Amino acid sequence: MEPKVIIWDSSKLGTRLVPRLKGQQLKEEALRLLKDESAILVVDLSSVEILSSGYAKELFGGIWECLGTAFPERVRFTFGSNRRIMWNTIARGISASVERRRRTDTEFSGVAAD
Amino acid sequence: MPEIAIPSRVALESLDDFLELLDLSHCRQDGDTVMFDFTKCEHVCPSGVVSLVAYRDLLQLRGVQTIARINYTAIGYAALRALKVFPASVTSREVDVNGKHLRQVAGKSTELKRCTNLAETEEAVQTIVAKINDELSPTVVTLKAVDYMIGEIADNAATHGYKRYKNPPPEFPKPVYICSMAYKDRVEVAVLDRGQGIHESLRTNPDYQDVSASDALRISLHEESSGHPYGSPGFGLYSAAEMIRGNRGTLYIWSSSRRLVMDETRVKVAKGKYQQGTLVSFVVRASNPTPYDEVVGESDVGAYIDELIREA
Repeated sequence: MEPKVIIWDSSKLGTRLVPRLKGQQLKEEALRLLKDESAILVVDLSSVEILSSGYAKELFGGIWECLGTAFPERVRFTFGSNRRIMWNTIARGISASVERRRRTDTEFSGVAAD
Repeated sequence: MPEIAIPSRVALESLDDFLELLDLSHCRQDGDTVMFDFTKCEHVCPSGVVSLVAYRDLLQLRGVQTIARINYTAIGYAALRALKVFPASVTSREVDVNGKHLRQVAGKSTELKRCTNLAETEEAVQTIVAKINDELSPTVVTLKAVDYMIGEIADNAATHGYKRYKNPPPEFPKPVYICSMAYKDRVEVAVLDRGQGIHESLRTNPDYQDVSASDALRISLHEESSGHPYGSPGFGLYSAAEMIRGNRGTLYIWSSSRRLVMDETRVKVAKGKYQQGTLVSFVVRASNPTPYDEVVGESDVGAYIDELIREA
């Protein structure tokens, strides 16, 4: 099946991604789109100026909580010169979700302690 | 009629004295009217402005009316802006010359914003960032850092302060108060909420259930410390503190009856006079470098996380 690529860029996201609540709202929208198993969400952060760790946790950590190991296949990223900052902020966001899962799910064995 | 005389200068360093003065107004009863006398006032810093308006709102909730007496020729500009939320009686004539002076200097401060939802908060942050850029021409990185910090701190107020964690209604239960002032070479930003306070918030996390209020404020500056019941990176206040430290600025936090002061060399916690929520104020020096890239651009999350992030 041909993948259906959905692109979210600054025209969708804006350039300041800060409030956690907005991350939550977009997570819900993303998960609705990703119910189509052929869908891949490409998040283009190349024009984003500010990304808060709380927003990253709600959006990307929240998607990870539902997709788990399928996350890298279903969600991809595009960066610009802001790659390092965006990458590390996304990593912090997902890490917070992973840590929460580790604390709350004693059977979660997907992640070895680093 | 009871009167509260606002001092000639309300500065960040002496804010506790001002908070104590305001707190006396809590003994007022429903039906009272309290006069805030600004006739001697020349300057109120942003932290004083947000505190003043928050206390005024608290009084009004108790059925106490508030009015202000001002001397239009003398009053400080930030206080003047704040008085838009006070009914005011002008006790001296409005002189055009001084009015012009006030309009000139009033440009240095932003009008106090009582933000009741995300859109208003975003707008307030953008207004402040634009004002700072206009007045101080800070370095690009410092401006971005200030933008980032205000956003994080204001979002903390709305989220942790007011316990708006999962699918909350769009309107905040109480306002988030934001104000700023561009001084000669630095900017002060103040963000205040009337929420649960840092101590109560952090105790939601089982790791911090037994911490004291003083330790709670210290821990709030640590990376990965958070009272968010559904997990949080715990990065917002930590990163702000690191950037402020690197800028040689100063961070003040009033919360849970404690006051934390942080500069580049120390963190000090003592008794504080704000008990109704959290007040975060910071001073950033416009021409100093700010380690935004170094702080936000680093993480130590492990290989598993790295493998989850793939580029298109």
